[in-house]
Amino acid sequence: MKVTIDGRPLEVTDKMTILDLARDKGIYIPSLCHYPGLVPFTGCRLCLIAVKGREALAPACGTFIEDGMDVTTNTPALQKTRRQILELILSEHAGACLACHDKGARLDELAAVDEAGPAAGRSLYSNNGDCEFRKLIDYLKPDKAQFPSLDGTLEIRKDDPLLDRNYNLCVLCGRCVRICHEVRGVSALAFVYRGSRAGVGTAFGRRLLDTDCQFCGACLDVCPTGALIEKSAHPEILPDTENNTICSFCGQGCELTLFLKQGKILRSVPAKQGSVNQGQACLKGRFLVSEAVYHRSRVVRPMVRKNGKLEETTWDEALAVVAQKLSGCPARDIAIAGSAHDSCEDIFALDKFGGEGLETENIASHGDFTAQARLRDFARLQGFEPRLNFRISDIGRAKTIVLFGENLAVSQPMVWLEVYKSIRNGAKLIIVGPQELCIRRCASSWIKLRPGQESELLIGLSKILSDSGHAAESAKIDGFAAFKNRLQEFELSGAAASLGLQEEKLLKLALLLEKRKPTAYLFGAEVCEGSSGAANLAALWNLALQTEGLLVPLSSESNARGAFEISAFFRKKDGPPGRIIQGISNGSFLTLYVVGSSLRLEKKPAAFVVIQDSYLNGNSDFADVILPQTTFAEAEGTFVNVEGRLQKFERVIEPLGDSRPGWRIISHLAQKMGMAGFSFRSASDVFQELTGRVPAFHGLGREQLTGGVFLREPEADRRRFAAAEAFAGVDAAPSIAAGPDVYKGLEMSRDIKDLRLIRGR
Amino acid sequence: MACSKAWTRHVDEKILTEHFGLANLYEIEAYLERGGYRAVTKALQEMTPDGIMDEVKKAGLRGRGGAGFPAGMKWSFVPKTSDKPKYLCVNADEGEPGTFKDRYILTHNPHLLIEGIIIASFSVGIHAAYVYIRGEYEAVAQRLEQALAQAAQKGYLGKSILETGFDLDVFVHRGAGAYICGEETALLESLEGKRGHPRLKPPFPATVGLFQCPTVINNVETLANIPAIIQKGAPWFLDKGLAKDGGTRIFGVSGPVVRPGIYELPVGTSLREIIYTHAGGLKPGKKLKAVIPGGMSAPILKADEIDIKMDFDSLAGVGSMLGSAAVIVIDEATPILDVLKKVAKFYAHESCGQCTPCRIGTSWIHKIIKRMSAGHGEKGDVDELVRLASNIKGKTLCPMGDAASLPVLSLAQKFKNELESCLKDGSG
Amino acid sequence: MIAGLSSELKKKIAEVVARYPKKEAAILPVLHLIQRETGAIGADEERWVAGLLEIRPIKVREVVTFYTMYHQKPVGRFHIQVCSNLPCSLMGGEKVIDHLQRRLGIKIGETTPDQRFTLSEVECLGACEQAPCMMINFDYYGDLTPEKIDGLLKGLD
Repeated sequence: MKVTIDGRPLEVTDKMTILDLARDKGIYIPSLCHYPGLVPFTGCRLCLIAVKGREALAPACGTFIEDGMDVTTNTPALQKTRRQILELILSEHAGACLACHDKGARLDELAAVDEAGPAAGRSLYSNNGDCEFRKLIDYLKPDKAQFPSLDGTLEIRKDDPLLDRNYNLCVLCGRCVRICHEVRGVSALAFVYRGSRAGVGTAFGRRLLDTDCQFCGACLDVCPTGALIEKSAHPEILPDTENNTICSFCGQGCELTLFLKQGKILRSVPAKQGSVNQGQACLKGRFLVSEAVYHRSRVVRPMVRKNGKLEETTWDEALAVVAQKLSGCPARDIAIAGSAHDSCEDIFALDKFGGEGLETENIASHGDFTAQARLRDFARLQGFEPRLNFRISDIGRAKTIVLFGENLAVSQPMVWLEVYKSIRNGAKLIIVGPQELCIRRCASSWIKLRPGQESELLIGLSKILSDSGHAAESAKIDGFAAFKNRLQEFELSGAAASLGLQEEKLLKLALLLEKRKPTAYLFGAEVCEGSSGAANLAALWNLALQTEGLLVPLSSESNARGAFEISAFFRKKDGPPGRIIQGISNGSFLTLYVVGSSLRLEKKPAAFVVIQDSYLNGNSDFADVILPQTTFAEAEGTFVNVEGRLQKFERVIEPLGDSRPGWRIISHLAQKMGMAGFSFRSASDVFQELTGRVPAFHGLGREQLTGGVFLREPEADRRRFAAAEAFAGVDAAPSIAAGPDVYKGLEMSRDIKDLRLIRGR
Repeated sequence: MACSKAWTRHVDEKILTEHFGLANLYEIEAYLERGGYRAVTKALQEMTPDGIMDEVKKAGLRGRGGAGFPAGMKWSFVPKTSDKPKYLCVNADEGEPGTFKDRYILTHNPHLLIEGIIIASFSVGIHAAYVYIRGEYEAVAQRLEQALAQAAQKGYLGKSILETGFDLDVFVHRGAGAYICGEETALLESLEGKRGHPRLKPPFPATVGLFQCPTVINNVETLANIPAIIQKGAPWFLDKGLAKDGGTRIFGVSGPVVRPGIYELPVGTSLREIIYTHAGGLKPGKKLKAVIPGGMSAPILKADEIDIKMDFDSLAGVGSMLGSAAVIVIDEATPILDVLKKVAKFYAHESCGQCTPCRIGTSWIHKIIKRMSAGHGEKGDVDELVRLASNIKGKTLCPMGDAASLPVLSLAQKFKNELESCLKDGSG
Repeated sequence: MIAGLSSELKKKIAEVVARYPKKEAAILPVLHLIQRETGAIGADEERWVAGLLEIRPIKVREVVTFYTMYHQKPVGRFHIQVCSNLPCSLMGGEKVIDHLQRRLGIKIGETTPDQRFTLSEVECLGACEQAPCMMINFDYYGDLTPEKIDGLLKGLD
């Protein structure tokens, strides 16, 4: 399509609005209510433009380009219209009232207001001193306020954690309402009343804590004024630097922008260009970074237990004690529990130290117990090669999404946003699990069952499908005949009764899966564990084959996949890692090296215990030595997110106190023990060796890691139905999953007050 | 419901109000006795959907809600084939101040509307219709519900009407007090159970309307004209009115006239005739000052401008509009400032709040007028009103912006001297 | 109080909900039905309706605050709504309002202490040919004069 904007001939192929095209081409059209990714609202009317041949002015944000359009965006008349609209908004803007009580006061006197603002209990500046509304005023320059501004008459809501709401500064652009509904699927905020009383409010006018609000902060990030403001923001403390990093609080791999002042983190916001999160985050990444990094339970000096008490000491002494103990201990009596919150570099150094330096086989981490690890273990036992990599956007292609048991909104916030988007686009969500989740309201059905019953449900569905007229496609897949044969023995009515479901309901569900293909099955470790885990996986595998299903195994730590790939490389034999965890809790080892929060210790588990962590916690009571490790903000490295996406992050601040990155701690320790191969001088050195050795990382250069690089996987096998005989044999150890609100040794939902309040609702 | 004044003067052949004098026309038996449902029978048994649409197009039937869009054309925009259901929404959200004609039709002759609904639905291929009726009309809604039940009982609604295989369900949906819901897209939002915020167009309701499905939205009076068009043909109907604007209009006259009420008259009847001949002129001792010819949002006409034909084009020619054909007569004793105050209060109260100019602009207009009314008007206030109204006009998402600004502009322009005399340093 | 909805009303509500392809669309009529029984739409009613229609309470809130006919607090037994719009005021609507205020001893927006009357000013009721007019609950009364109003109020029980 050809279009002319301000005399400039332009060409577009996709359906887009005039505003989007103009912004794309560097033509500025002012706007308040427009926000990328949201449905056009056309409420503020500041983006009015003239389209040749149309009598009325049109909103650029809501006018889609048609072939041959001739658009004018900047004439004195248009600017005048916009100015007048801006004056109207200003007349209701309490921030301006301070200067503009007198009709005719010049708006540039607002400068004085900026200084008076905080003293008067008002903040004129929105996020980070970056007030969009103020920029608009600077651009349109209304030189005279035509109306006396109303003074703020609305109560400022300060009764929530993390953010305040001052609707005296609200311009009713509706961005917060829309992002909360359209993108986040929460609708904690909505329009209330109408006409001049119109505003933004919550259900029953309550504080956000008493609504469905997830405190993701998306509303704050889109607010163009200071109406929504973080409690921690202070108009006088503005950042001097900003740096991006990858959030390490969970496995999504969101890119965050951290704002710093004099080397200290003030706050964090989701990076607009983040490959995974595209401007979104969750409450942890959005609000808790600085709190977690500077938490009072941070340990920043090495400590050694002397006379029963932990005392601060030097690295030299601490490492010497550890080296001596480890050297004197037979390899089979040493166990190492790694952390899936650590970077690939930290994990590689640790696993190499354990596997090649100490030559112990007793290494385990969370990464070994995730749904991804289980799926691969299961498949390989069957003689298949499964696919673990996926893109979150793949889920969006599914017409039916089956979710097992997790509250995705909390545990996998970015995956959830994609699921919610799919639902908005017409996909159906089916939740399977014992508990009713708050995301239930977005689901078309909830199959309530007891843990361990999943396979019964899944096999039942498989049976219905294999018997139905739709089995022709599945019949082409290897092993179908045998599979169908085995299903003969399965009693549908019995299963329905044991599941407490009507057979009718099962039939309907099967039909839905059949009619609404492709499907996606999202599952976490819970489905794969225990005695029923293997049967569940086999049933999932087969049903997915029948329904063009994508299997999406989910893990929750920031580097679970990386940990699992690296430890699989160093593992000499296929020893089940569950045995090691069992052994540790049974006190089978003499010396124990624990990283992060891998294990919750209840008693002293070994004669000598080393803890390498960033925080002191209950485990510290059993430590003989504590080695202080940095958090993700103080180190550089790489993480593999839930999708299998390898992302690098840079150091944002100097390490606190004497804390060191994990790989450096291990390297020093190994060197102290006289081991060769640990002369790493930087994380990049470790990464280089890692990519040279661990197959999943082969040939990946650090400089390539700009968001779109995935781990290498063996070619997925020709797909084939799983056989029942091989069901046994998958490690059935209990999971040691840490839950979504644990970061290293910090139990965020216990140790951070705001999160405790929100999660405790 | 008290409808004490259904004065209707006989015009040679009335279309909508002919039997209004009958006490029980709303009962289906009485309606059938007067030849009711013959149009439905003819349409469903003798005509094709396209044939009906053509006939309505030829009849020059323009929408009676306010905008005056040709009804047949509106129907033809609905895709013939669609994998989604199609809907008919009947706009009975009569909220334009001065307008009460639909209430009369719904109260006195609900079956005429039902006939229109059936024929329109058959023509467009619709199987579900919703009558969106303003919340205050509770009694009216009940009467319509009763009429619908009777029609269903006689086989004119429900499954396979007249054994033609055509199914139609009609539901009454009551609003809850919001003028904006008379705007067609706000009506759709409201019907879907949301706030009445107008939608961005395109897409137009004909393709993406109620529940995202193709939808026709017609006013009550518009649909009530359909049976006669079917029965007597397009030429007959067209002949009642003007070349591109066929049929009659129900003019509702209010204000200090001798006989306020509704008058069904040919499209194009002069305003003077309506006021002086039909409504009996002003009450004794009252003198005409001005007339609002098409509901409150229509620009005002001064006493010397009433020799005008009441049709869409003629009124547009003098800068006003026919709107809902609600004639509000204003007498000399009424200060224009009082009129303006009512206008301003109404729109400030009814703005949905979405568009800045309408939400804040109407509120400032109201504030300034209140100030003037209290005797504190300042020099320049009238110009300020004009400036504010101009900045609303044509700058909002829905026509409410125009509705709110046009009357203010016309009052401020035509009665500038009178309004300025109310200001502090004015001559009065 | 929402727990006490009569089974007849619940049946009626179910019938209304079935008229729409999406449950949410029934919100206006359902709120009307409930308000008639409970007198107002408070937090309990909002929650109940949200549950019934499988929507979030905030969606009910949005609607209840947008439309003027839903009362967030109960009104008196007789809700008198007087039109204050132009056609009525041309015919003496202001006098009707003044008279009602004096007669009932309350101002617009208030309820008499005995909870018998609530007086509201409303926009055009669509009965301009009988201006000035008002509604008492859902009944229309037109051609009002002070004498007629006195007679009407006397006749109310």
